[in-house]
Amino acid sequence: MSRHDDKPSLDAVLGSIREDAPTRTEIDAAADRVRAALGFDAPVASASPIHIESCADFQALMP
Amino acid sequence: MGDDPKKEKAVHALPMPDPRTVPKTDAAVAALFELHHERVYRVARRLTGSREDAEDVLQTVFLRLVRREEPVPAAEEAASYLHRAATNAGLDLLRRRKASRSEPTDDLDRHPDPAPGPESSRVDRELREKVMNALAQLNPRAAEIFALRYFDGYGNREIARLLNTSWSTVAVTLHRTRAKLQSALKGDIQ
Repeated sequence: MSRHDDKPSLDAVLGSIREDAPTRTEIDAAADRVRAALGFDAPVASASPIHIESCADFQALMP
Repeated sequence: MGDDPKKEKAVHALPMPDPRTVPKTDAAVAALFELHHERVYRVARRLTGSREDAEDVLQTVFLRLVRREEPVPAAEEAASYLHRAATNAGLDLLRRRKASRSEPTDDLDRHPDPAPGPESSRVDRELREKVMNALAQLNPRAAEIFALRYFDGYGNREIARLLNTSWSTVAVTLHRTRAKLQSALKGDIQ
């Protein structure tokens, strides 16, 4: 095998980047910190959570 | 296409921040955060290779909405808008990092993978860093198109629609960007 063959292709490196996925724990921890920094309340499991199923539901949250 | 629409639909039923505690517009941004923070974080994480940088991007994207520096997107446009916002914020961060050279571009050494596999080898990380830095130095529009195609899995026609350009422009841009990256990475890749 030549030295050239030892090197990865551009597509192999791009594939490696694409496959590097964060864990659920990592995502949740980051989201918790950013929520706190932005002053958003943590999601709460209530009896009447907001459900967004349509544009109208979303627009109801706008001023 | 990027994320699974079925999954996004399922997320709609997640509990949201209590709107009684925040102004209405902030409630809308908070609702968008609950629906799309995962998408934004994943895009930023792929681009930066860093947990801390991805978190910075996540905060930056939504802070701009909270501060009204960017208009709050309509619900039906939010996913694509935030995907693009994350891509551009991630690329901006890489450009600034490259310009300042003040700190390392990945934090994998600071947050080591507990079970590193072959793909997280040192060589891989260095190459990944070189690819991302080379990409960040290219024309921002070309870098965005390349990231949407090769990291997020968008097709050429989807990218064209997203960026309001032609399919042929996307195809030519991708071809030229690949060639530039091949040239910039000469010696490191086949």
